[in-house]
This record gives sequence, structure tokens and C-alpha cells, in this order.
Amino acid sequence: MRLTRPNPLRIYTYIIALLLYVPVIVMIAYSFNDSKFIGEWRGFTLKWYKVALGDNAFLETLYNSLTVAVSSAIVSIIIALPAALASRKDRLSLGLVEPLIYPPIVIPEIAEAVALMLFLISLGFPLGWLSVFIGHTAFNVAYAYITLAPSIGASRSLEEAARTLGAGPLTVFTKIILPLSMPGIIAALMLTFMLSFTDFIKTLFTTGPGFQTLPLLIWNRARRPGLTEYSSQNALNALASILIALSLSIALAYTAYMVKRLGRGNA
Amino acid sequence: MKGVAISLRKVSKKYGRVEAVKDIDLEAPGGSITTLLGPSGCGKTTTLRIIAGLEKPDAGSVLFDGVDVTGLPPEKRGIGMVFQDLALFPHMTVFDNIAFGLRVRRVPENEIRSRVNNVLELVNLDPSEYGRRRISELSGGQQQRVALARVLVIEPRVLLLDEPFSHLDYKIRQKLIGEVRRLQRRLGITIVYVTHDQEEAMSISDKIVIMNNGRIIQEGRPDEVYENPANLFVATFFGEANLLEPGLAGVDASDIAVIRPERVKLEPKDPVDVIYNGVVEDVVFQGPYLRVDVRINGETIKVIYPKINGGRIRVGERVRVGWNLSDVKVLGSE
Repeated sequence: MRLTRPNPLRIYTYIIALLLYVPVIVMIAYSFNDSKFIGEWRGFTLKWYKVALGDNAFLETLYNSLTVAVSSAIVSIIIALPAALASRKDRLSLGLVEPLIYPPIVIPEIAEAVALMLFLISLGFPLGWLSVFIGHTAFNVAYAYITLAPSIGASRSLEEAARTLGAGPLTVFTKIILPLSMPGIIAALMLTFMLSFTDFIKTLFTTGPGFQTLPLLIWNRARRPGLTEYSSQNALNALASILIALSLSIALAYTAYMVKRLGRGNA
Repeated sequence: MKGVAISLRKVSKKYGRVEAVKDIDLEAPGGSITTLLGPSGCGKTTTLRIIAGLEKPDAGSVLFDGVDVTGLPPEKRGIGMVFQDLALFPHMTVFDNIAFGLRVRRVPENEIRSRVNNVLELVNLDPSEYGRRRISELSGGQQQRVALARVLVIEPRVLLLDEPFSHLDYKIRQKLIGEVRRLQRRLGITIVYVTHDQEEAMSISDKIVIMNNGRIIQEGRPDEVYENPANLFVATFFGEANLLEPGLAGVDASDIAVIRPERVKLEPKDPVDVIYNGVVEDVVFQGPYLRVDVRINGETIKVIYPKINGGRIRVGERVRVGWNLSDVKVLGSE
């Protein structure tokens, strides 16, 4: 495609990109603004980051978010991997697995969140880290499965070759299936980590007193701006920017990994 | 070391409603090359996969040297198999691909090194140059060689080949077929070879098994099967044949009579049993011989005419064509 003749689709794409990224860029820019007021630029400063990072609540909720996201990502892949393996073996399992796996992607998150909350309360299940983790893992399994399934299907004849060369099922799994599924597994880990790390709705409904994740902290602060130094607009900008930086670095790490893999001529 | 004799006893296999293999009895003698030949979908690959243990037959049993191995998984059968798509491991180097079977068998690493290097030399790949390459860095012919090396290195008692040379051009294919034959004779292993290419089957086999629609139609030495096809399918699938109309053959009208193109004599010098006048329809130059189509009484007869017989044959020319009745094969109707 040449750049000389802009077509409507291209213009449309630019508008979408603008709508998506301008608020984010403005927010990041203001997180470095040496003024308390939006719309007034007084020069570059890092003091809001100092404020945000000096906040014990930030560190605590960041820790909560990370532990939930890492555990949920790993556990959802441990659950989704056998499902992806089974669904590839025969049509029957495929017919059983997929209808059970996809609904969490289609059902509105709010409905799922309310249902889970009511269910947990009716069981008398304590709301906190574990309930948030369960909530996140419920949808993460679905996303892990759809990310894993294609990369796992590709190795069928290689597994048979390995069997005829004398490898038992366990060796086939560790030496053939797992290495060949690695791009899919890593993609699934990153996707599920991000979904959990940035989740708001599910967390809001499944958490209990005393347990907050980073998105919930930002929400609570943003509801009452200026209540403390930490909930100032500027500190919130800094906090949200940190969140974005974390997300972006994970996306970049994944891209770099894939580029390296493809660069080795090993698709 | 003598290769293992393989027997299938009344083996059947269905996929859903499709009967891939129907009640097959098959013997592949130890230390020889047996070829399963047939059109696609005839059940030859399924039969091979049953021998490998990759498919479980619905009925019947698989015997290796008389021992029932029907329930054994592929890794316990002591086989080697080259797949049609080769199935080389893309995430490993050439060396690691070939070493895979040895590492699984816990062969010491220094022995692995020498055995892999030896087998690479055997298939004409320089170990120092190719050992560290990735599979994607090899040509199609080199990949075929690596696939062959990967199974030969484990010194299998039984070697199963599923159209392993089908993607290669003629010359490399001939060369690799020659190599397989030499290896087989040297190592004395049993080979079961699947192909749909009758020429390949003729040149490689000690025994040929012709399959169609999940059944074995005929088996025997290639020359036996060629000279005495059991039915019209075999006659036309394995080599070429002219189907003779009752009026032409000099045989009973209720029979199917065929004659091989090389048995038909064009402008015969010696006396023959039957002779017809015809018109040349087409001439194709094939190097040592000509393929000539001659029209007789409304039927086209294919003739292979050795160049050495001399003379020029032109399209439209009137010729005499004849044959001896002993060269006409009368076949069963099936």
C-alpha cells in the first residue's frame, strides 16, 4: 500500500487510534507536570512518582495484584493445557470442551461477577485474595484455552514420530509437545496475567474487606480526589502511568520473544 | 541379524462408518522388502499404521515373529518409521533429531555422537556441516535423508516407510531407493513400504501386495504379479494393459482378456497367432522405445515398440498389429 492516497478506512483507523491513545498520552504527560492543576504546565517533575511510590497502600495493592495475576495465569494454564490436549485427540472431547470453555468470554463480565459473588456468599466463602483469584481464573481458563489450542494442534504427527522412535507418552510431552507449545504457553501466560492484573469488575465484586488490588485502589482514590496527598490528581496520574508501563513492558517482552523465535527460522 | 517376520491375522479397522481395512491377512517375510501398493484410500497407510502400533485394529491381531504385539504401544515394538510428511522435529537441530531415538534409549552421549555421525555419512550428509543445522535450513531431499537417518540410527528390526520419497524428483528418488535396497541387504532388516507409485513398487520390492478398497487383491513377487494379474484392476493398476474386446482377442466372449503393450507386435516379422490391420493414431518418443496407439476395428491398442526394431512410424500410417494367444491373459471378472 502506498501512503499517497488516503482512503476512508485509513482515516477511520487514525481516528480510532487518536481516540484510544490521546487520553492516555495526556495522562502520562500530566504525571510529570509540576502543577496541581490540569491545563497548567509548570515544568517537568518526578515528585508525583515519589509520592505514589512512597505510598504504602500502593505497594500493598501492587503486591496483591501481582500475586493474584501470577497465580491465576499459571493455574489457568495448568487447567487449560490438558483441555487443549484432549480436545485435539478426538471430536468427542472437542465437542465437550469447547462449549464449556467459551461462555466466560461471551457472558458479560458484570453478570458473571454478580453470579460468582452471590454463589460465594451463599457458600459462606470468605471474600479476599482467594475469592478474587477464583474469579480471575474462571475467565482466564477460557482465554488460556483459546490461546493454547492452535499451537498444540500442530504437533500431532511429530508426537507419532517420537513414539515410533521409542519415546513414551511422558517423554513425548516434555520433549515434543511442551517445547513446541512454548510460544502458545508464553502468549497465554502474558494474556492471562494482563487480564487479571488490570481487571476491575470481577475484583470489585469478589473482594472482601481488607483486600484491594491496584485498579481498585486507583478507583477508590479517583472517587475522592484530593482527600489525601495520595489521591491528588497528579499522584493518580503517576499511579496509572506505572500501571501502563508495566503492561507495555510485558507486551514488548512478548513481541521481542516472538521476533527472536521467528528470526531463528523456527516458526 | 535377521529381520522380523510380520503377520497380520484377520485385521479390520473402521473410522466411523468407513471401513479402512477389511479382514486383512498379510505376511511380510523377515529380512525382505514388502510393498503395499494401491490407489489413495485403499487402506495401505492404515495397514502400515496398524503394524506400527499407531492405530489399534478393531479386530484381528498383529504378530512379530509369531509373538502377538497387538496390544503393544509403538515405542515398545522396536520399529522405525519414516512418515509421508517426514515429521522432523522443527525445534531441534539435525543432530538432535537423529539422536532423539538414542537419547530415549539412554545410550551414552559419546556413543550417540559417533553413531549419529556414522549414519549421517551413510545418507551422504557431512556431519560437520549439517549436524548443527535446523530442519528449516535443509532442502527437501536433505530432509528426506535426515528422516531416513533418524530411524536407521536406532537399528530397528522393522522399518516402515510411508511414501517417504514422494516429494522428490525422479533422480534423487531413484538414488534413495537404491540406497534403501543396499541398506536393507546389508542390515538384513524387514521393510514394509507403502506407495501408490507402481514403478517405485516394482523397483524396490521383494514382495508386492496390491490393495484396493481396504482389501488385499493380489500378492506375490513383482514379476509374478505383473505377468499374472489376478483381475482387471491389478492388470491396469500394476503396469499397463490393453483390454481386448471379444472379437479381437481370439478368446471366449464371456471372459475379460488383456494383453501388455510390450507383448503386442507391430509389423511382426515372425509368425503370430492373430494379426490385424490398423491405423497409427499417436506416436510418443520415449528414448529407448516408442509408445504407439493403433486403431483396430474401432478399438485403440497401446503398443510399446523398441527403437531397435528400426523404421519410422508416422501418425495416419497403415500398419499390421498382432500377438500370440499365449500372451493374452484371461482374467476373473472381479
